Formats: sequence, structure tokens, C-alpha cells
Amino acid sequence: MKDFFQLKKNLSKDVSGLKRLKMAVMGDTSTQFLVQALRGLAYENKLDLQIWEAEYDLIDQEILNRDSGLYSSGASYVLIFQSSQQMLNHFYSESPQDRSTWANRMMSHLQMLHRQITQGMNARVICFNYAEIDDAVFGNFANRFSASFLYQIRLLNVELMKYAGQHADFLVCDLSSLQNRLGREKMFQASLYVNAGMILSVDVLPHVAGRVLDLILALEGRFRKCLILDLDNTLWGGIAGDDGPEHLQIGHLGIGKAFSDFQHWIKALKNRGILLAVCSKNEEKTAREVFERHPDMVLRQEDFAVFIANWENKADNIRRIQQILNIGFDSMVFVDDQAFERNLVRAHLPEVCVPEMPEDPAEYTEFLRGLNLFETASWAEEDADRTRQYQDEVRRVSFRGGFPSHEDYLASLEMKGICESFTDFNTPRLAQLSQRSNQFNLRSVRYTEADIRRLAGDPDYIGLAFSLGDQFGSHGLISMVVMKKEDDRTLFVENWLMSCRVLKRGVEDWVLNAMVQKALDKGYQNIMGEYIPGPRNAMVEKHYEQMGFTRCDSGKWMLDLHHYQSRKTFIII
Amino acid sequence: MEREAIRSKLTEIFRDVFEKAELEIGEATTAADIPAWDSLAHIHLIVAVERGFGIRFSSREMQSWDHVGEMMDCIAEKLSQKA
Amino acid sequence: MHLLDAVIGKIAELDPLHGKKLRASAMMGEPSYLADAQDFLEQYQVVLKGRGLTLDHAVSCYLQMIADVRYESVQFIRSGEYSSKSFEEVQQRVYQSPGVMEYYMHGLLLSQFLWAHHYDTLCFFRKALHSVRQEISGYLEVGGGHGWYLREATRILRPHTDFEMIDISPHSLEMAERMIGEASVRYTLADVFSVKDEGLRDFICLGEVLEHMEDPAALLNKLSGLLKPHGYLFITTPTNAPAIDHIHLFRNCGEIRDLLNQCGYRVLTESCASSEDMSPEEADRRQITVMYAALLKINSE
Repeated sequence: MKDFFQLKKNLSKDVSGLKRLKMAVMGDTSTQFLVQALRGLAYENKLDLQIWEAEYDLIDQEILNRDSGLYSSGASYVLIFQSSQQMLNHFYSESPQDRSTWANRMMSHLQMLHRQITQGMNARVICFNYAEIDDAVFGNFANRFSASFLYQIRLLNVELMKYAGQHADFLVCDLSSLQNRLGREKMFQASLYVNAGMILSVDVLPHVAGRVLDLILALEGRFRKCLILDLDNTLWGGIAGDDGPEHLQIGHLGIGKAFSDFQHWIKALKNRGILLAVCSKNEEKTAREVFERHPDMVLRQEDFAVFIANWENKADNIRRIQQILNIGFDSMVFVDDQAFERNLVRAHLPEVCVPEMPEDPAEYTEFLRGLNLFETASWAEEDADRTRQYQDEVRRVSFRGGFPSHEDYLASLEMKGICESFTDFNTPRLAQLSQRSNQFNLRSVRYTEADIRRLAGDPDYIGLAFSLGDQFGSHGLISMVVMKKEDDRTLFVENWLMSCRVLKRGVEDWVLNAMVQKALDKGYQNIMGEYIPGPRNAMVEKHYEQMGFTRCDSGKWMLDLHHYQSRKTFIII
Repeated sequence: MEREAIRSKLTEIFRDVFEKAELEIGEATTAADIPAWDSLAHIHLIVAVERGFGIRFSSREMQSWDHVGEMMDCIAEKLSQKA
Repeated sequence: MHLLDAVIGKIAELDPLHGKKLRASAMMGEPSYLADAQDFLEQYQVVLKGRGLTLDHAVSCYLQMIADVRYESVQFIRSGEYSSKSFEEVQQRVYQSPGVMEYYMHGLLLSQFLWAHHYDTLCFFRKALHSVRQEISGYLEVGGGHGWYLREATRILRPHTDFEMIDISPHSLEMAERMIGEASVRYTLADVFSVKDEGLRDFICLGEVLEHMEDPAALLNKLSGLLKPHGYLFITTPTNAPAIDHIHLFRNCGEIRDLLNQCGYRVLTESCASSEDMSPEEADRRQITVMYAALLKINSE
């Protein structure tokens, strides 16, 4: 990780061509260095992060005054940094009888601030939680005494979590767990605080900025979906081909515990919805044998969406994995104990995240956890099932080979589709689809759960959600369309997006038929579409042309509904 | 041309090419003794030597020198052919 | 392991001056380069082994090429021009001479990973191809030489992409086929000027070919007829690079850009890699080789 001074050098670099994001930062202590670290790190992540910084310790004033700079900043994220140091001072100024309700009062105040912000501007609020301070006034007794600071600050952290769980546009950035990992001594330097009012030590700034950016990038649709793993000396100790499966170190043999713990963690990631892939230099039979026969293996073959074991170059194998899963290289993490393999993958596929690994396998899990590689902006039950969905896809790919034409293949899939409007039930999944879809995404407009609920209740909007299944299994929700009334005759497609897992199924044809039907039902004459080029949606540049829309002078695309011929589709409703 | 005369003229050429006024070369000098003597500098050195002595080297000759002494042998031979 | 050390060690032993230059290269300290070069040499070794040869063969070919380059460089400084003047002359001297082609192609291949300006250009090629890979279903390599660029392309592009290589030298085609192995590629022995304007391609790669032409503009114009309207042309060509088979001398990168513009191409991205440790501008001024590379589109306006 780059240190603060290296990040600071980025501030003078050319940001033209980078995606621009606006953010507001407000703190009860000096945030100047944090702002520099954020911008410097954003540059590393190809973002031009423009930050409006509130005057020091004026959080409430800026938020409560609608004429303040905050509301004219145009920020889409507002970061609130209240330090536990200042909170402690505040706590001490309370009268002793009020202290046991302090956390609840602080939380109500924060809720009020959050409401003010969301009413006054279209922004998400990111709030740091509180790095614990044990003020040692009560010793261990603090844990059973509700009027102690430790009790109240922990309670406040819990209240923050509860509140964030209920409000999609209120996010908690976990400063407290960062302090748990790095230690309070590293986090906080008393001399800096006393002399410069700085809460965060210079060494820790890149870590803190990293936690904030992880959150933002995930919300902007940039997060990792797939973990690619080497086998020998990565998932187990020893070399399967040389040592034989029975001598591999997993479980109780040798340092097997390190590998078992590592596998447990990986399994938990898989259960969360991270796709796993094997990329190993091995005979395939040897590699699979370990999974089949070793009694202490935690991970099983069925945990992996793709399994590649051969003697080819790993960069080429990762390309194959990418083709099978059809996800971006920048959503992949590659873990290998060999420096050579890591460097080779870095040379060929710079977008793939390749963490440098510790020498000692005992440190693998802790080390990788510390990198927070798998940030996510949402989670839905369906995610846990993702590996199976991709395995279905792998089987579909081999099934497809047997048909003379693509149409025959589509017909044989026996696809069944469901088209419905936006409901409470599909809202979380819609929000997620909107964050995840980068390639088939016509205008790159993203929707939060709150956005979806709002437009579901707005008569000027038509929202359609599409789910698909076939004889190999369910794809779940795979496409959404948001249309807005332009005038009495015309509906404008505010966005149309689709999961890349179902490309080339004729889903677009089925979706357009449904869009047209819905528009006609509501008495519209035309549907107008627009393509806005983004960094990754070149795939749909010609989408409207291909769907039979006519280009207008404005560059937008128009479809006349009364001359619309229903498009051929293999999807049965 | 006497061997010493060749050495002295060659020294001037070396000083010129490597931009070092006090550079001294002997029969045993090799590229390892002169840090700036790499393959690019070598080409410039060949051209300068050719111009300085009014001779032309073949590809094989350019390849064959291990130290300055061999280079001088080659120059002396070329000069004697010319005469 | 450490094939790269062995190869450079061997070169330094046989040609200390050249070894010195290779060892001084800044990329020798980059882990990703070292891994990449090692991986290349491992694969190359396998191909050589198929012919009963070892990397020593590659090294001796390489040094023969270096000797040529050295001699041509001296000529170039003397005369300010490349020594070959006509295509016919080079055809006789190089392309149709199996002995020369053998050492030249292997030498050139090794240089892709030993010379910083060749390696940087290869990396630029990978990046450029990678960035447009979703749009490509037909790839054509014109004058593919040793075939390594095409080999990389078969790995970067999607499966089922149609690959074709055209070259005028049977020796090149044979070598490329060995390099590329299983991937399905059509190898065509032909002069690109004789190829009909049908079956338009999305991507044409023209690696180090323009400098071999008497009239580079004619080739660029020919290629725009083989390219789909939205297709890409990728070119590399050096400035001030004396070699036995180079005919057209570009004196600086600006001349190349002007030519591309005149022939109706628009530069999307470009790279100028200098062969010595200096800026491309400085290299142009001192008449030192710069490898120019660019991803191009046909100008539609």
C-alpha cells in the first residue's frame, strides 16, 4: 500500500479522462490530510474525486443551514467524521445521570442530520463509526455499567449498524474494526492530536481512505466477484503431484491448521456469493483427487464455479476463466503462493487484483482479510446461490455445442420468463442488478433501493423487472427497464440494463415486446431510447439500432409503437 | 604507422567519443574498463575510428575485438593494406 | 528457473559489449517483466525442443542479427540512409533466403523480450488489443514474421475468433505455425497486395512492416480496404533503425503520424519507445531507434 506522501504526489497529476465523483467531507476535527489521502487514493483507482470540505467542527451548522456550501457542493456522497476523542469530551460534559442514555441521544441527533441531508440533496451519507477508547475510569466494570464511556460508545456503534440496516442511503465506514486490526497506538498519536488537532496518524491515513473508497467503489459498481486460487502451498501445504494426497498438510498434519482456517474463510466468501475458481499447475486428475479423497478438505469441488488444472501459463488460464464466467478482469482476485505466477499475471492482466502474499501460510488468512478485498454494497439471499448459477452456465455452454444453429439451441433451452413491476420483494435485487451491470447498461443510471421505491410509486414511471429460467436452472432477476413519461405520447427509457449472464438468449426481444405492450396499455405512441457511452458499455452502442429504433436528430432513438412488429422470442411467459 | 602512433591517435578518438579528456587506453583495455562503452557507443567508436584512420571495417571485424590491442592489430593491418 | 539469466549470460560471454547493454536495462529490476520473460523462454524452449534445438540456437541467431545490426548501424552513420533500396533486393537477400530468415526470425523473437523498446511495444500491443477484444471476431496479421504477436492475440481474443496470417516468406509461416501451436489460424503465403477486398476484418496487425516497404502509403491504403469501417489497425514501425531488410527510413515519429493521417487513419492511442535510455525526442534528434506503435481507426469524417 502506498503511504500518505506517495498518495499526495497524485494530487498534481492529470485527472482528465477519469471518472469524476463529488464528495463532501465534514469532521469535528481537522480533515485536511484525510481529504488529501482520499483524493490521492481515488486517483490510484482511476477516479477524479472532487471534495468539498466543511470548515472544521461545523458539521451541524453546515447541515442545518440549507444555504450552506454543503447543499451547493453537488456531492453525491457526504462523509461525516465524528471522532471518538471529541465524543469523549462531549460525554464528560454530560451530567452523570444523563450518561446512560447518551448513545441514544447521539444517535437521534445523527438520524436528524441524515434526514436533513437527504431532504436537501441527492446524496448518500457515509458515517465513520467510532474507534473505541477505553477511558479506564471504571476498568473492566465499564462492561456492566451503562453510564461508562466504553459502554456508551459501543452501544452507539451498534445503534449505527441497526440504523444503517434500515436505510440504504446511510452507510457505515468501519473505523472501529480498522483500529482493532492496526491497534490504537498506530491509529492515534496523542502528540499530533494535541498539537495539530489531528485524530488520525499519518501512517494510518491511507488505510482509512481505503476503507472509504472501498465503500464508494462498491456503490459505483466496482467490486470483486471472483477469487481465483492456486492449489499447492496455497490451499494446502505440500505438492499434490509429488507428495501424494495423503501427505498434504490440511487439518492436523504439520501446519495444516493454517490451510484449514484459510479454506474456512474462503468457504464463507463462497457462501456470501463470491465465485471461486481453481487455477493450478497440476494434472487435473491429481488436483481433483485431493478434493475427492482428502478427509480434511473444507472446500469441495462443487464450491468452485470453474476448475482449471493444467501446465499452461496462468495468465492464459485466467483468460479462460474470464470467458467462462463472463465477468470483468477487474472483478477478479488471484491468490498464489508463487511470486513468479503472481508477477506473470500482473504482466499480462494488470486489471486483475494480485495481492502479494506473506511467506508464512499461517499469515495468509489474516493478511488477506486485512486487504478488505470483497467489499459489497448489498446482499440478497440469491447471492449465496451464485456459484450454482454459474455452474449451470458452464453446463449450458457444453450443451450448446450439440446444436446445428443458435436458434435450435435457444428453442431446446425451454426458457421461461416472468415480467413484473417493481415490488417490495424484488427491490433489493433490482438495486443490486443496477449496481452490478456495467456492460449491458444503456445510460449507466444506477438505482438504490430508495430510488426504486420512489419511482415504483410515481405514476409517471413504468418499471419492469424480468426473471428467467431454463431447463438447467433459474437465472433469477436478469433485466430491468425504467421508463419515464416524456409527454403524453412518448415514454423515455431512462435506463435498460441486463445481466451479461444471459446475453445471446434473445432476452432483449422479449423485454422489448413487454415494454411495447406496457406502453400501449398506458396509451403511449412512441418509446424513445438513448445510449450514453460509459467506460464499459460499448457492447450496447448499437443496441437501439439493432432493436429497430430510428435515429432522431437529437441522437436519441425512437420507436413507433403502432407499426411495431412483435419480435420473435424463445422465452415462454 | 608505428604502433605507438596508432595507440596515441586511438586514445584521442576514445577521449572524443567518450567525452573524457584524461581517458588513457592500453593494449589490454576492454569494455569492462570503460563504463560508457556499450553497444551504442561501440558503433560511434567504429565510425570515429574509420574516419580517423581512413579505413573501413567489415562486419566480422567489428565483432571480433576483445580488447584494444586486437582493435589496434586490425587497424594496423588495414593501414598496411592501404599502403 | 532463471532462463533469462542463462540467456543473457551466454550473450554476454559471446558479445560482452552487448551483454553490458542488456544488463544495464532498467527492466531487469521489474518483477513482472522477469516473470514474463521467464515464461516466454520456457515456452520458446518447448518450441525449440520440437526441432531438436535449445536456447543456445536462439542466442547464436540473436548474435548474428546483432552483428548485422551493428554493421548496418555503422553504414547508417556513414551514409545517413538505409543500405537496402528496393524490395526486390531484400526479397533476394533476406525473405527468400532460408539461412538468413532462420537466424533473423529467431534473433528478432528473442529481441521482443530482451530489448526494452521491443518489450514495451509488446506490452502496449497487449493492452491495446485487450481494450477492444469484445469487438473483434476477425483478426489478420500482415507480415507476422516469427508469429509471437499472433500467438499473444490467440490468447487475448475470444475463442472462435477467426485468425489469419499473411506473409511472403514460407519460412516465417512455418516458424509462426510452430510458435502458435494448436490455436486455429489460417496461414496464407501471399503478398498482401494480391489479397481481395472481401471478408473484411475487425482488426489488422501490421507489426514492423512499413519500414520494409518501398511505398508504405500504398500498403496503408490497401489495408483500409481490408478493414471493416469500424475496424482497428495496429501498427508498429521504427525510426532510424538500420537493418538488412529495412528500406523506408522514418526520421522521426512525426513523419509516421503524418503518413498515417494522409492515408486516412486516426490515432486512438500510441506509444513511442526509445531504444536507449533517453526521451523519444532526444532519440529522434540523435538518430537513435524509437519504436512507434499505434492503435488506429479509419477516419470517417
